[in-house]
Amino acid sequence: MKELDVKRQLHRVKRASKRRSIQLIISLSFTIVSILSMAFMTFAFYTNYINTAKATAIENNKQVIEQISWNLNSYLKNMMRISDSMYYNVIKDLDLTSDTMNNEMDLLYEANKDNLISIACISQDGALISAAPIATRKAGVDFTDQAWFYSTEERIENFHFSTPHVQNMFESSNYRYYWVVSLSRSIDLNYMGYNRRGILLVDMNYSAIERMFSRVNEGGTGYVYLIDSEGEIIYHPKQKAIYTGLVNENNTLAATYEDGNHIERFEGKERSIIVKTVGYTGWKIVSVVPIKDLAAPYNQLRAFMLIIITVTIFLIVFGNIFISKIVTDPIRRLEDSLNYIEDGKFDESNIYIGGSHEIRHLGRTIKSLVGQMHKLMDERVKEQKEKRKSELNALQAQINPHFLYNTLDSVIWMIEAEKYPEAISMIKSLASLFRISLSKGNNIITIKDEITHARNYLAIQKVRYKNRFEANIDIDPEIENCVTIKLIIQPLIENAIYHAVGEMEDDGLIDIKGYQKDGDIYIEVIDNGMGIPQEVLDNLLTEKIESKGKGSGIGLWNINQRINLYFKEDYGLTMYSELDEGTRAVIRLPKLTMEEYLGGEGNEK
Amino acid sequence: MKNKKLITGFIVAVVLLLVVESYIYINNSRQQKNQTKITFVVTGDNLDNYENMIAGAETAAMDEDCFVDFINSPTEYGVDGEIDLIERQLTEGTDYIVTVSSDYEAMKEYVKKANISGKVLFVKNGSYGDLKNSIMVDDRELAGNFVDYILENSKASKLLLVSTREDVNTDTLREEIERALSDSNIKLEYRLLSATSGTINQSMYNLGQSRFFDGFITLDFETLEAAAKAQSKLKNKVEVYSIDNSKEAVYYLDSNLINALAFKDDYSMGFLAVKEALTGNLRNKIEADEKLYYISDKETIHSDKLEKVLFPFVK
Repeated sequence: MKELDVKRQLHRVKRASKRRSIQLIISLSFTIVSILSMAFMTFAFYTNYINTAKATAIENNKQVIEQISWNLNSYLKNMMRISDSMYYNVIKDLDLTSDTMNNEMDLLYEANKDNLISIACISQDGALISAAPIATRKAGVDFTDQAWFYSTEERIENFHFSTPHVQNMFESSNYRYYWVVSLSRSIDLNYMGYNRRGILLVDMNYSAIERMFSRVNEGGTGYVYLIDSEGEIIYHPKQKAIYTGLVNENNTLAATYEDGNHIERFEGKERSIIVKTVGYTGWKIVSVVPIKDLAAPYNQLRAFMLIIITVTIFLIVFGNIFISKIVTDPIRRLEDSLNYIEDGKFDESNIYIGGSHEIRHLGRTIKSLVGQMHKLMDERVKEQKEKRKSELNALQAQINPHFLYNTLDSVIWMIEAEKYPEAISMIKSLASLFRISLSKGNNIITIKDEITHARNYLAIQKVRYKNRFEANIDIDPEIENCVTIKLIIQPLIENAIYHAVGEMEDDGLIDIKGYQKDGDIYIEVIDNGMGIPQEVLDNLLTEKIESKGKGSGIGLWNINQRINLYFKEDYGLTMYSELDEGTRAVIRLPKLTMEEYLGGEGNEK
Repeated sequence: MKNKKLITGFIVAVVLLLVVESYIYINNSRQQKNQTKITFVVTGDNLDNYENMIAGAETAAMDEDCFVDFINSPTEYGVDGEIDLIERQLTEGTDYIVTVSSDYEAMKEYVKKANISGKVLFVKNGSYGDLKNSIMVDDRELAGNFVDYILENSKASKLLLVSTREDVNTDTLREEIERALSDSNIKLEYRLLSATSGTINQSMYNLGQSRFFDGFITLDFETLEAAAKAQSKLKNKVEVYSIDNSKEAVYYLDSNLINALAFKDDYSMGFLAVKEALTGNLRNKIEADEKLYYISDKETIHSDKLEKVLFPFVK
């Protein structure tokens, strides 16, 4: 059952979609166009905004890196200056066989101790010549085994910067140890004019470097780390985790990067890399920002935009529905008006005129067309009606030639039998009959004239039928001056004679009554003949295309049609009959005087 | 009339839409600000002893939307003090507790009873493999490897295994060392020493001076410190092998006062505890690669790898 309902609903939707009202087409197409345009614009603006924001973030990182690079460079230059100062201003001038450099070294150390851990001068064979601050050399430590020592020995012309390490030269107290970066250089030591090679070692405080970087890494997205030219990590916020294998870093690859921006994929994540080489050392400052973090600050913005888009789409959909409704409402109403016309209701007042100029013009045009059509149709109906009237009147006006022949034959017989008064009376009746039949061409006559016509007809027929039937006429005098259509009573009397009382011996009776009731006039023609079978009675007043001779009923239909044509359809002829009892024909007419009729007081259809 | 209804319906719909979307928007903002809080409840009188673990935990928290806090329960309050702190932290809304307990068994019992095993992780002190939610060093493996090292490098024929306590943290080590050395040429004797500072120092000095033993294997900080002091006085007459992870132990090794050190990696344990709490699935992978302990001697203490592990950065 449910499935059936769903199917029915689907069918309805399908049918509705096929119907595609103008409102649906307008609202749907506008909505699609608006949403597509908005989506495109939003996407373009958003992408542009995010890209700009990303570029700004990268630019900011660049500036940060520039700043660190500058700081680090200053720091390292300062360390090199210390080394230079110690070497060129002190050591070069000393004869180590007689002089010491302890005081100068101490002074230099004291002046820079925030950034320095120690300064030491070591002979080529690893003997400590001098050191500041003064400390006990660690037992069992061979300086020649230290990385800084052999790297200096390998390339004596250069400054050498080590990777960070724990200083392992001097005894420390209270469980203290120092992380240092060793700056070493090869120097010439003077022993009574003889030069021997030695090493000047400046152990820089690693904390200074660490502080520089950790300040940068404290806030914001991503992080910055420092590597040497081989990719060995000098500083990294997760340095220990990297060394213990808990975290990985792409430092080896980063060492191969040129200065500038790079995008790399590491451990499945896309990252923005900015590389800056630090002057003399070959160290590289590497800034890492996951691409997704660049856009992370805009998540809130994205959510906000989604809300705005949803509401805007809603507004667009509503707006389109509303506007299309305003636009299409007059068209729909005009369509409703046309539906009325389609149903045959040619009422101009039903034509809707409203909406935009074009629709109003269309409405007015249709209204004008309907008016003209209505007028043409009325004229046509009138013409048809007149034609019909003429046809029916002409038909009614035909005098049965047999009736005329028989009447004249009866007159001849009377004259031959020297019954002159009767013959005269019959001729008078016939003359009166013809006079009223003609009625100067008028179809509307008074009831009085119509009754007179009926009397004349009865008089003639009674002679012809040798008074085999009786006829009573009882007309309310008040209605005598009211109008009727001519020749509507005589055919009823003729029917009564021919089909009822004409064949009876001598007890045939025709009653003609005229009276008024409820503002209308009723004229009844009643006979006591054998009556009409119901099936015949039912067809008596239906339309007859042609006469099928005597008793075809065309006369009765004609009477009814003529009354209908001249007066409203409420009026007309009604037949009642009972077998062996007789037949009653009732004519119902509006109660109108000739003046009223001619004044046209609502009697016409 | 129809239009009025349409407009009213539209306004109501827009208001409803805005209310719903504002709710989602605000909720979303709130969720973004909700950080996971992980509290380390550790036993001890000084948080400095957990410097490495703090560094590891903070490093792990760097990339995550989480906040790590360390609080210590003084030794004198025992496990009750730790439980009290845990309960207080959970009441205050901590999402996960990582505990380094002074009494692993009692703490384990409490966690089970309180039905908070999903929120509590055991780190460092305890029995390896006993609980799912624990990050421990495999003491049996550590002891086995340490004994292997001793057998390879020691000239001693008789060693004294010393400890000031017998608990879950020392028992496994002791058992494994005894087992591993039982078939060797080195004779091993175990002594439980008094933890009183003066007494233990004198005891160790006397034991070293007596020459009854060629060296010591210390299982805790107190015996390590006493052994190092005795060694200093005895001018390196005995061999000292220690299992500890204090900075003092590293100093003694660097100063040649002990021969070798088995060092538990607090840093990695802190790191893994945070990751485990946040993801619950990192431990197995990391454990497969890392042993969470190192054996170092004078030769290797300044090696590239161990130097960075044994000496916490930047003092």
